[in-house]
Amino acid sequence: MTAQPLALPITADPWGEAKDLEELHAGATQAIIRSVAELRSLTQLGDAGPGRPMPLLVLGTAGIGKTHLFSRLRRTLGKRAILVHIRPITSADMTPRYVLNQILQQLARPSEGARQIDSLVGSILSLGWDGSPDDSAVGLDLLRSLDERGRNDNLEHFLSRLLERMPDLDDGYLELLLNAPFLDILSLRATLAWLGGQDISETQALRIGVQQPLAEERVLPALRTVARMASSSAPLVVVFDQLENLIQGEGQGRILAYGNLVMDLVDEVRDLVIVQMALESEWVRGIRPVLSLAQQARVIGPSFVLDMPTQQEAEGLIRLWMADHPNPTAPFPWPFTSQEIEHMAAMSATPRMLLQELQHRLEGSTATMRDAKGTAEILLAEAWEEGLQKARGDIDERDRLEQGAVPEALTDGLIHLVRLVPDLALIASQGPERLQITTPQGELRVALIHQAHHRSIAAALDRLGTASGAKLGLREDWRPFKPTWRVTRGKWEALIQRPELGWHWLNRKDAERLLALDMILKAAVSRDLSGPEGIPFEPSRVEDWVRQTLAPKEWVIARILVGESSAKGEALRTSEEPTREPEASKVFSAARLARAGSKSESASIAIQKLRHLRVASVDRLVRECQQEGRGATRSTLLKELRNAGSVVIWIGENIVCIDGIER
Amino acid sequence: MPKPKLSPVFDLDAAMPAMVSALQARRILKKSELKAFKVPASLQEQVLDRLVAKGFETIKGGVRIPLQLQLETLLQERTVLSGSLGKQLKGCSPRECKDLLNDLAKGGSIHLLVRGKAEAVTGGATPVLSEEEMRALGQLAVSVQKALKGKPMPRTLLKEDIRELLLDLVKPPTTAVVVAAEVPDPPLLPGLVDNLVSAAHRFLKPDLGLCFVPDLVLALLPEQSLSRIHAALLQAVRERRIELRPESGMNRLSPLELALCPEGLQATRLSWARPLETKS
Repeated sequence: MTAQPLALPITADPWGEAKDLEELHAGATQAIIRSVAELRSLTQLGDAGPGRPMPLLVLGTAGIGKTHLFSRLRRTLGKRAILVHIRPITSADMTPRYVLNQILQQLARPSEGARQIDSLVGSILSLGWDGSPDDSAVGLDLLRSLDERGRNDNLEHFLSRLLERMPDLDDGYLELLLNAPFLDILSLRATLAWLGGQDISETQALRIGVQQPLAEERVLPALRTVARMASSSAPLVVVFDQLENLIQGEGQGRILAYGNLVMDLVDEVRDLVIVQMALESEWVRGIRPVLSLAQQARVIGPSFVLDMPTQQEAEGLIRLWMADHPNPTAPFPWPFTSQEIEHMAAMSATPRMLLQELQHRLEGSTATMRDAKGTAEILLAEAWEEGLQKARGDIDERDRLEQGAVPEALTDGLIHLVRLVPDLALIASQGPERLQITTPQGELRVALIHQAHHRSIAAALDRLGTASGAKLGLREDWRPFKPTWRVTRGKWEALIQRPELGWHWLNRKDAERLLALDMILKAAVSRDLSGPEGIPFEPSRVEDWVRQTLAPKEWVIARILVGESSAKGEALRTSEEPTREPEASKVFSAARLARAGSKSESASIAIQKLRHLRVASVDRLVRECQQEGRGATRSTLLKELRNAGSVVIWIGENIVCIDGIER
Repeated sequence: MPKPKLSPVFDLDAAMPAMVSALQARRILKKSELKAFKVPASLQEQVLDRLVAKGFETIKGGVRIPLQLQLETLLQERTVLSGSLGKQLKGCSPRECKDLLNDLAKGGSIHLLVRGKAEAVTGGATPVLSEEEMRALGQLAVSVQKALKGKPMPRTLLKEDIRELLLDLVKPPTTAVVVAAEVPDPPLLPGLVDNLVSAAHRFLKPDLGLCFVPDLVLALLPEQSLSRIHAALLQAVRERRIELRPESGMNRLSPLELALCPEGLQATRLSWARPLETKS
């Protein structure tokens, strides 16, 4: 978050490429690698009995390099393992479905030069054909060289052999998984989303030939299938990071649910390596005492407390970072002296502290100037802006998958908001559809209708309708109900007539803020937000800053929850669909678009396409724009169409055409 | 016939820890006070010799904690020592005290100060004005006097000039890192680091291999001052016998626990310790 003269991030990114001093934390690294090798050899020998590696526990103080360890494992294990990084959610208990979802999402991520799904399927194919599982490209290349029929025949034959060896696997699930690397990008996204237990849209379901979402009773078998399939070639390594976020003031339910989840993974899924990471103080005093004895016996395996760097390691780290300095004034140990490095090591400096000291030393006068301007506020504002940028990127990415914002993260953000607004209080939270809060008007149940498929939406609306008391339904305003979803729309229209139910279309700005709020406050709990002189901000300090600087009680969503009306008297709690913008907003946006003119090609992609098509459904326009692959998303295209003013004529809510004069 | 009364055999080894504790608490132990520990007159000289062998200093008719160690302990407890040091340091003459202060000031371990009308002493790490800065201030004083005497009207000085000069004098050090080598650690009582490492093993949480520093400090506090325990902890870190770890919990330390933990870099508290050697 501070200025970085060496462009080295202060906070580790699990998916980033970081400089690494291998001797640091070598014990924990080797133990995880040993567990992976042990699991791999056990399953290669066909050993179905007990004796799988126990979950490993990695503890350490803030900034010692726990998250960094994940990126090292990715690099060290390469294609010999599938790495999954999971941070806890606070709005609901972590369930096997959530873990499955995270695993499948991260299979699409590239790691060490290949998509993880390719490494997974490629290595099992190579092993099945008596090759080396480490050479995952061989099997994939072989199948890719065949035509579709030849490939399908081979895959079917392979599937049969696999099921003969492992009859307890879910064959339907396995077939989709094995086919995934050979799919086009749209089908792959839909397939991974479905395999991950997500609700997918009707278009996506048609694309991959499924009719129902993954049923609850198939979730654990699905997890077992992925883990078992991977274990003999590239075992799954599931890393639960920042577990301190499970600790909540309201109760201990999240920790117990986490204990149950890991027990399920150990007892039912079995063939995976589990790594748990937490701040040592929080584990010792906040998490471990809450776990039942049965949970402790299953959850806590070999423990590793990461070492503080010795003087030699501190020197090694500084030498490593300084290797990037374009023009050092003097040889190593510049900009320190040997005594200073010795002193920092003797004072128990973590790698993060060392990096901060180095950056302070290199920044020199810049740091002093920043101090004068109130560094703490600047750093928090930078962290907030970074969170917003990431939230925007995440929403765009999910939009490409025809999904809304990650519902668990959005709900976590809502919970943080409820805690920050004085008139609101959290009673209980059981996931995106079941958030119970108190407002000045009394208790309110808030449900985020996040589903993608119209039948799932209808079912969620039914559930909301049958709940007792005052209720508020929420959905992102860039994901309106399509006109063709007659049953769903009928249910929704009937529902919003009911006096006890309110409805709000969540605007994108609020959604971005909620996601950023979740990120910044979780980072504060994990001591990953560093203030002036590198001292981590207390979570309460960050909350105060958010209250004072960002005025969350003024956000539209907060005012909706409080039950407030706007200054002009119009009801904020609105059920009007977000198909048309308010007139003033539209004029402003159109003027802005006109000013932008043709400077930006991507800014007018929808209009260009519409000029070509003359008239089209919104769905077709979105599809065709996306096929051109210029990074357009449904929400940006819709926004562009709405902002185009009189250039675009709307017929109903789903057909657009270009104005005759303009054309 | 009544049995002859046998005088009990005095166990010198068993009595030594009690005498060391008393000496640490009082900072001085006179030969005449050894009777309280039931030391036979024939063994009193031997006891004093043993105490000297443990690192204490001989004085006329007894032993004391080394004078320099006494001063450094006082300086760890208070940043500035004022008043008569001869009374605060036990078992020394005024001349001895003066010589010690001069020697340490020459070596840079302490600074001799003037505070108002009184003289005082502070540690070598305390920020003080250098000779050059003192001279700059002296020139300012000359300028002020000259300005006040201006004829026919007194002159004045630009506030900005004064601000710049004063800001230069009080600017913080360029780095947050304090170099250890510039501030030699106080000599520790022999055996304290050993006792500390041994206590760290006793308080170890076996599943983690860590012990909570406030537990460790509390166990040693009846016999040692807090500053000396903290110094011993840092000495043990330098000797790679234990590792100290910064606290990163969410406000989990009480004010007392915070006070018991030594301060680390960036104002962190070192709340966990890990012994790095196997228990002998």
